[in-house]
Amino acid sequence: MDEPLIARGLRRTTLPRFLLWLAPWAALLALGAWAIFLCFAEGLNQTNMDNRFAFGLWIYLDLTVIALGAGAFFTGFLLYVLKRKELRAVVNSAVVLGFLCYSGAILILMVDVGQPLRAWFTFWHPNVHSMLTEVTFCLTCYLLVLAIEYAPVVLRSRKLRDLLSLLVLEHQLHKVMAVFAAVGTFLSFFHQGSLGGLYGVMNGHPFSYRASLGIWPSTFFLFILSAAAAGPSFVLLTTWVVSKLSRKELVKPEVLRFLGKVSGWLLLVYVGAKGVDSLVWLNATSPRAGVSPASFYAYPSFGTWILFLEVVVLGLVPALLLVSERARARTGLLVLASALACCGVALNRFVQTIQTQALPTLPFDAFLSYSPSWQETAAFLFVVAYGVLVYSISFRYLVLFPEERELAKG
Amino acid sequence: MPLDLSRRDLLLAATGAATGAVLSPLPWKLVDDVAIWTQRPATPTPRPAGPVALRPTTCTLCPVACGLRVRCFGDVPVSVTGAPGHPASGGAICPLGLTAHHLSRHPLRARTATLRHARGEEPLSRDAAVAAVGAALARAAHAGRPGGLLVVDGRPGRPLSALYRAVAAAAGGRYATPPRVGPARTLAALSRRSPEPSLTLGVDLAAARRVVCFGAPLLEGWGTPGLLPRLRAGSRRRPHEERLEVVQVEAVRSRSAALADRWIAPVPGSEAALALGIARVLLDEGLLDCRLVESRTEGLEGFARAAAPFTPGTVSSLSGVPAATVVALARDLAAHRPAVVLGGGDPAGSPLPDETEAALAGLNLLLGSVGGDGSPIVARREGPAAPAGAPPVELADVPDGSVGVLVLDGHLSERAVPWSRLLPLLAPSATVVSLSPWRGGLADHADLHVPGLAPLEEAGDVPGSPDAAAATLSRAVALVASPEGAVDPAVFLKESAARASLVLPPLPPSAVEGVFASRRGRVVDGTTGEATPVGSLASPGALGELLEKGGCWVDDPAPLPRGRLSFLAPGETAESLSRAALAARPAPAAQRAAVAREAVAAAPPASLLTKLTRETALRTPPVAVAPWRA
Amino acid sequence: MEPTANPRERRHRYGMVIDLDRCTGCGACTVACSVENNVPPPPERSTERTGVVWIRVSEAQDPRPAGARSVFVPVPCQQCDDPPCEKVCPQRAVELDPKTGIVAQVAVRCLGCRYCMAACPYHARSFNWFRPEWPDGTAALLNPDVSVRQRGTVEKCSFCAGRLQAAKAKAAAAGSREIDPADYVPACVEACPSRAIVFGDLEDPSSEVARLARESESFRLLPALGTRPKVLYRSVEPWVRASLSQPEVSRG
Repeated sequence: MDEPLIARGLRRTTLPRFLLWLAPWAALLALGAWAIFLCFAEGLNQTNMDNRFAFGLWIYLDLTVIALGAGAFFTGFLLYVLKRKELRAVVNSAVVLGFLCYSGAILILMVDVGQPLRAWFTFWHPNVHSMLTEVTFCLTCYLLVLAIEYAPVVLRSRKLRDLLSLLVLEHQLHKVMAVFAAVGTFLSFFHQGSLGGLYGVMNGHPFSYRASLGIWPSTFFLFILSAAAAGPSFVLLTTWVVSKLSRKELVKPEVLRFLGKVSGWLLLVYVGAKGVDSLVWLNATSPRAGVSPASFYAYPSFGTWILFLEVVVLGLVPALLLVSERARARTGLLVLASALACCGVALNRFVQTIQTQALPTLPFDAFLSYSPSWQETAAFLFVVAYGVLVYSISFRYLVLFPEERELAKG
Repeated sequence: MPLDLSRRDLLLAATGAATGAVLSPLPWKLVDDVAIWTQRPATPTPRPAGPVALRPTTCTLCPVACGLRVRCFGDVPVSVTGAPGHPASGGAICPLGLTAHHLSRHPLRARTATLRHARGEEPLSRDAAVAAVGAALARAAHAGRPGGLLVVDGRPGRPLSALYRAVAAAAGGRYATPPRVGPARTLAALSRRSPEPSLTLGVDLAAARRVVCFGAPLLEGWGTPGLLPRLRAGSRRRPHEERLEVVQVEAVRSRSAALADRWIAPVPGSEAALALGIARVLLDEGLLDCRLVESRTEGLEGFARAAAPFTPGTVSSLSGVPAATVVALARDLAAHRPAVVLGGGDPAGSPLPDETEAALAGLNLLLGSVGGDGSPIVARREGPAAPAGAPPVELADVPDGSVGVLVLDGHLSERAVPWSRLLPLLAPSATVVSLSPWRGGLADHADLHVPGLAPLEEAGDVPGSPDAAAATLSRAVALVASPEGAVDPAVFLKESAARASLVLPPLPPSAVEGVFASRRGRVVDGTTGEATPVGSLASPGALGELLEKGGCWVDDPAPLPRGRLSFLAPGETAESLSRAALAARPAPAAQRAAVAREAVAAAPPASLLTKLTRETALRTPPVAVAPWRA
Repeated sequence: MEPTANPRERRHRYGMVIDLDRCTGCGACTVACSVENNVPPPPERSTERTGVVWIRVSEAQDPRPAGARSVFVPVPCQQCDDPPCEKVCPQRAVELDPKTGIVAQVAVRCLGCRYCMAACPYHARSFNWFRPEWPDGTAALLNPDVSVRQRGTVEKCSFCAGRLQAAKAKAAAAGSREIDPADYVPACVEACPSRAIVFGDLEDPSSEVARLARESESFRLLPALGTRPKVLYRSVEPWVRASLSQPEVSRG
């Protein structure tokens, strides 16, 4: 029915089957929309956040999806700036993923703040010392860049191509894409870093406070590194998942291996830096704040195992797997390692957001727990459903994997 | 000249205008307006009309009668603070008092007289209420003793109390007061030991160096809010030996126990054994001031006999308190006189048994803390309200089934007198009249509920705490208009009595007249603390004026009690004391229900006060209001 | 009009010293503060962790094995000289007034992102999770000098800035540039029945609060964090000082 809309040379499933695939996600989207409506209408008392757990699932989600969405900037950077042409095979998909991650994050952020109508005050009365100001500026600018990067992919769609002026626009955009990729990289560096700085500057919480390197805390750089490492892994992972779900070969295996290699080396550097940072933090920064580092891991739910899990199991292990050519050669290991890498970054964001707030600061504080309410979870799932829906539609009607056509022929 | 405008010109002009507009202040103004719109608070703070004034009055929530300053905009009170120079409260007030101005708008505030019967309830007009209560009083007067009138006063000593007694006398009925609670019971036990039948005692904590509380929530603010912590902290500047220390003897770790310098946790019910054990150590080790004890007391041998079985070892096995602790406490008390021992309650919040209070009274006599120069327990004169009318009886002395008409005072709290205590007193088809300003609690059991006045609505002279070292009198001023259907109980009762054709005996002179006639004491200004001797005042009117302006009359110290206090009160024997102390009662498992002041105040908690129980971890939630009797 | 010859006002650093040996945990400060600053009463579903409380009293137990005693610690905004909340707010809704040292929360500019709450180690900030409501006509009893805040904004202790404004207005009416210290006393200080809180100008060396702050019995909460609070605590008990000036006593 919708064949005229599907790009030439691509084989897609029938519309009813496609709609069947979309249906559960649409239902989830509707549930999430209801939860978001409740949060706007009734207020944030619909969540299980409180004065002590001021950040919850949503902030964790924001940090994680933005870290995973880093694939967009890093792939763009490798392709347009470092001229790694083989990445042309995944760059469209990476851009769509990035766009979805960032727009989802901003959407959920608007639900998370108590007065969304005042969001623009950050531009009106910016506090230049705040990491969140940096994040807000870079996020909004970068979302714009992503939209511009997404535009050519949409403009090349079968119907829009027919409009000559749009085609010209697409062509022009394509010529300047390197500039946007560079701008995107710059912006991404800053906001990924600022997101790390968000916790690194909190001198009230010795658990998350880090010594400064220059004007930024060390987590600023660690977040850039970890996001750059996890981004390609996430692109790899999604490409593999989409290929499995659609039962098609989408890119040549070398592309995935290259992504894995990039991810692996970056992850290795990250794990090294993280190790050094942790040692400095545990032995110098936190004792200076009057806290014994052992106390961070003195509570049953968050023992030292979590540090081990984050740095070794979900850091060093995937890094070593990904840098090893033999491991990369086996798709199973490659995918497993990149999944571990993504989980590692997600765990890092979890520790930064949740453990920081769960740990007591005052002598008479208790260790706190928090579990999200259904509204929070549903709003979280809204973003997931939104991502899946938009990606699915993009995948069906747009050319996300330019190599797919050749591979289908061959 | 024809103007030749092309479409291009128009477009250009439009573009230019648009660019100009963007560069003009207009968009910024627009943005700013939006900013202001999003900044608008949801509820604008109302600005009440009328001049701002800090108006003096007296708190009527509990018997302490703290001096208040109420910030009013016209007749709208917006905050309550303590009167800084007030002698009864020293400028302190408790959280209940801080929210007093919210109480007349409390959802439980009764706004109209109500008649309850089997089919439900119906509102009554004021006239109908007077007629109904008048009819009930007439019926009671006619019936005589069984089936007669009982008035239960929640706060004896007020001008209204005199009227209650007059009405009770005219109707041939009784006037009862609720059982005394807290340290007042220890004072009552001591009064019973005096040859003077009318000796009243008060506590002067400032005179003590050791305060031992058997369950009394003294550090939580029993009596004057914050008094004991203030005294204790103030004494820290003195040499170590002269400091005031507080020992809390209580089975549960209450807030007072946590705050005390020492906390001793005996098995509940073994308090008397512990007190007699301390007494025995004092006697055995000769830690008494023999001359003092001999000159002021008699019957020491009997008390020594009562204490004889309570060696530290026995006490330890009875109470679970190590023998060494008992000995050390006794020595510490003896070494740091003046020391005072005050009873309070057991972990369930109910009073200690009489035998325990007797043991505590004996301990006070042994320590020489009563009635001497500089003793913590001093004699005081009765308050200014001269006694007249029906003599007060204790509720326990009212026979079951003897009450035909029960009148409940508005200050009677259900925690002080539970309904289960009153119900057996009622004769079949008795009428219960409540004058409580609140719905809920005892008022929900009343057949006739005639709402009285809430705090800040009440006006009149307010006597101070009966436990204080000296009698005081200050004045409450009506700052808030009462609801249409509420009545001034005094006016209402007089009208009802007239309707019942009761002839009231002459009421005693007003408290102000009484004070003026006595020429005793001084009036202390609540703001400046300046004192004016009553003797220097020209008329009762001048005295009333000073009270109206927030002054507080304080009685002169009373002379030392004549006659010696006996260790054993009439009807007590050494054997009965030690027998009761040996038979430690089984422990009531319940936690202490609430802080003392909340138990005494009949008013429900204001919504802002519930912040403490719901939004901080400070207190256990107050007990819920009793549901309507089925 | 008086000529403004010297517009430079004297700098103040308002602060308080809270005597923990006096605090009994009665909650009068919390209640008085709520009355003064139009802090809403608890809504139906409010809890200890979602209520708006500007000065919270917590119990700190003696951590030693045989310790049975407690102190009650009232924690208002610590009015840090280096406030962690101020530097994280993205839109300058938290302002440190250099003339008074008071950290102000500009509720009408607050976005409600709660970053300041996450940053504050003293948990002195509250978010309006619920729409503030004053039931039964108690809205008429609000303090007209303090505006109410909206749902979805963060608020905290302002050292009763409304009273400072009133004191300034009074001084100005009397032709003076400096306020009378007796005119500026926060509600909690005034309400404390055991007189545990001493308030004043730490910059004025002759003030009671400055004298107490210099004594060795005074200490700050979490001093090693470098936030430099202007709210100090004091106790003659060494265990209180040792355990409270150190973080996480419970962890031994």
